[in-house]
Amino acid sequence: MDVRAILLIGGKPEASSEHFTGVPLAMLDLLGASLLNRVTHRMHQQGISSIAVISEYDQFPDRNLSPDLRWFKAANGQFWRFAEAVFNDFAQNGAELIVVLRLDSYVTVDYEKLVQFHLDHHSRLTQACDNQGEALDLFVISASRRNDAAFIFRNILGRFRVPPDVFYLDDRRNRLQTIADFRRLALESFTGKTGIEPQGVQIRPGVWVAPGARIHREARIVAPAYIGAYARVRALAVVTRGSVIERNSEIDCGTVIENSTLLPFSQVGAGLDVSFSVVGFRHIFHLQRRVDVEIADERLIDMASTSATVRALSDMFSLALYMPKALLSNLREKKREIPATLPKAIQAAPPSLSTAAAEHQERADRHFAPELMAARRYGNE
Amino acid sequence: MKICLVTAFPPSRRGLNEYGYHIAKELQRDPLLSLTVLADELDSPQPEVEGFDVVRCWSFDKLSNPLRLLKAIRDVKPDVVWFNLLFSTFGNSPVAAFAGLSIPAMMRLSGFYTHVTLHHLMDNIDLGHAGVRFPRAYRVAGRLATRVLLMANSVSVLLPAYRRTLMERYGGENVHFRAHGILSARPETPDFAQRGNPHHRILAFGKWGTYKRLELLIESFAKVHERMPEARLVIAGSNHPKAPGYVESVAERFRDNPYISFTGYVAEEQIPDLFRTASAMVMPYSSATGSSGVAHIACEYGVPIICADIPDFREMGDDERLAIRFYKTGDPGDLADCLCKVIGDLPLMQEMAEQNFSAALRMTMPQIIRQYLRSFDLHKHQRSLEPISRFRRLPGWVPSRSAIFRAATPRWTPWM
Repeated sequence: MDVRAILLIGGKPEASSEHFTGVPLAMLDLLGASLLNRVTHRMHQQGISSIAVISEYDQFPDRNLSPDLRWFKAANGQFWRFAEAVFNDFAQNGAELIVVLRLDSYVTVDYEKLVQFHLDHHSRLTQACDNQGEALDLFVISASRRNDAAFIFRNILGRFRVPPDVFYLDDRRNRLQTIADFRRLALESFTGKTGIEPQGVQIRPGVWVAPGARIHREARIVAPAYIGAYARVRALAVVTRGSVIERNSEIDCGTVIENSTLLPFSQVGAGLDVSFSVVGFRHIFHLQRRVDVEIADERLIDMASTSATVRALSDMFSLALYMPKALLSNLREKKREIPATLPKAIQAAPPSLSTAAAEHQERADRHFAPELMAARRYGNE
Repeated sequence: MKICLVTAFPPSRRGLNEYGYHIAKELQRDPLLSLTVLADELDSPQPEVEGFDVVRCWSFDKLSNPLRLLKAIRDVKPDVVWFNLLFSTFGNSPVAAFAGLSIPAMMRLSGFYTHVTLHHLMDNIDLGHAGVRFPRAYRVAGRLATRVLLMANSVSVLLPAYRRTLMERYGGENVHFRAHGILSARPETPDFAQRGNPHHRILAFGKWGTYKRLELLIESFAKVHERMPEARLVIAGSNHPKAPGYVESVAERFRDNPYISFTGYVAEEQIPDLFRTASAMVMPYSSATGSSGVAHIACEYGVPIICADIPDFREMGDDERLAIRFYKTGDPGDLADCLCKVIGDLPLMQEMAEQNFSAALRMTMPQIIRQYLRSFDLHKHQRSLEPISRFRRLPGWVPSRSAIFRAATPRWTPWM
């Protein structure tokens, strides 16, 4: 049977938050592989032959992504038209069933069972719900039902021409609305709650290391932790409390990564303390304060190029330009001026003093009425 | 944190011994600090103040002070060496004083973090009034000494104008302004029942004989007493080291005047009684040598202040919002008018007392010392982060980064 899939990234108004610095959460690596990668891999394993991805964003480089994946970047406003067109294309090219999935959450799906359910119930349209009964943006549509599909796409997966059959999954849905959800998903995956397996070898209980990762012998990795492929942890660095270091990331000497995620190609400078944060694309997002800060100083947080060639070339240029650059910056360096006069705020009288004086003045000016008497309520005076 | 405090220290009676004592007392309260007082040697053996680790390792007017202090500091190995200084702390002879003032720079060169609390500047002292024979030569030497003092890691001065002078005229960089403080943790609420009851006591307190003279005060007091017979003048304090026998000679001259009393040197424990009962305090100075410690003690007990109109004192009054009545410097008539106005107007006296008391609340010794400690702490952190900051400048392609890091920061421990 020819079963194909359309994966949607973005498209809904609420999807505006489903990204981090312009990269959709579904495309960010989570314990070694992106959710998109995990979903497509599972679909391929379970007999779905062809997959198209319709996204509002550019594709983030991912070597592990299946090469036969068809990628369509839909401009703003054209997203659902693209989805409809791809559906029609699949239908014309012989597809019998088409799975439509919007990647706004992660849930482990047995696609064989889902397809079997659809066939067993002779359904035109099947919608999946998680084990809590919450409806997902996951559908199986018979390819012959183009009008039903068109209706669904035009209503942004919110309304149907005919009520769909409901297929209940065994798992709970993990929403991916914000980067904080993304981080929570990583932590839950360490405890085995999500079905997401870290991509690598478990070198110690709770510590996974992917191939190519380099960890200095004086660095400390405290379980649970994940070190991605070609990541580098230098001397005296500490990775602790469920931290995730994704591929090609680099932690410089003496830095502590605590309860944080370093997204792919991130570089964190020496002697820093990164806590409760997600770092990537020269940004740092603090999970407790919910604040995203762009770091301009590349000595603190930087991002390496996603291309190995560019990385090598930039290192070579940096080597060649190091001395001239250092000379130039020394020549240009200006002495910091310290004002000789103290700022006004420091020179001004403390408010408490002026209040005390003012109060006194007020007291002196006040005249009590001659008949006024005051007595203590519980006193004997 | 280990601190070495270099200061004159009781029972020595040299300049700033009281201020040094109050700094030490406040530092001693902090259980996380280890304090060693490097004090001046006593002329005759006396018991040390209890509860302090005092090493008497330098002497007034001795040229060997730098070497002796260096040895003592090396033995203690402190994190901070804190100097509590006047220009004349280490001696009256110019060579000994200059040698002493070069100690902070030497300590810095030896690798110790050095902080100087400088109570006055030569630029602001009227050397004529101070009884100096060669004022011009002193001025030049003073400027040189100031430059040498600025070689310390950081310098604190007690008036904003001094900071301005050090930065603009001497190009000083690490110069801070810190309030003098009231020498106590808790100021005393003024008790007006003890004042003017039955006499109004006018207090003059200090080390007399140079720019602090008593003639003008006694002359104006005679006029005050004519108008207000209940007024009494209390002259407290001893001679300035440069004017031995001055107070005694004045006391002798007015021995028969029952309205003027001389207390002589006032021990620390007698100060509260002296100030509590004072209706006003007079500072009959001809020039200033910095922020006045006496004015701050008056604030501590909520005593109104009457002071000569000297720019340094005006600035101190404005900055710290003290209640000070200024009289024209050197004018006994104006001083007498001021005294009569304050003592004769009870609401005004109470208002000034309360204002000084409320100013004192803002300048308690714990608050002042906390500012110092904070800056020492900041420097300590800054120093520990400096190698990291330098290391971060290394480009990523440099091989053996980990080895370089370990060599550059041998004692690195993560901030956890």
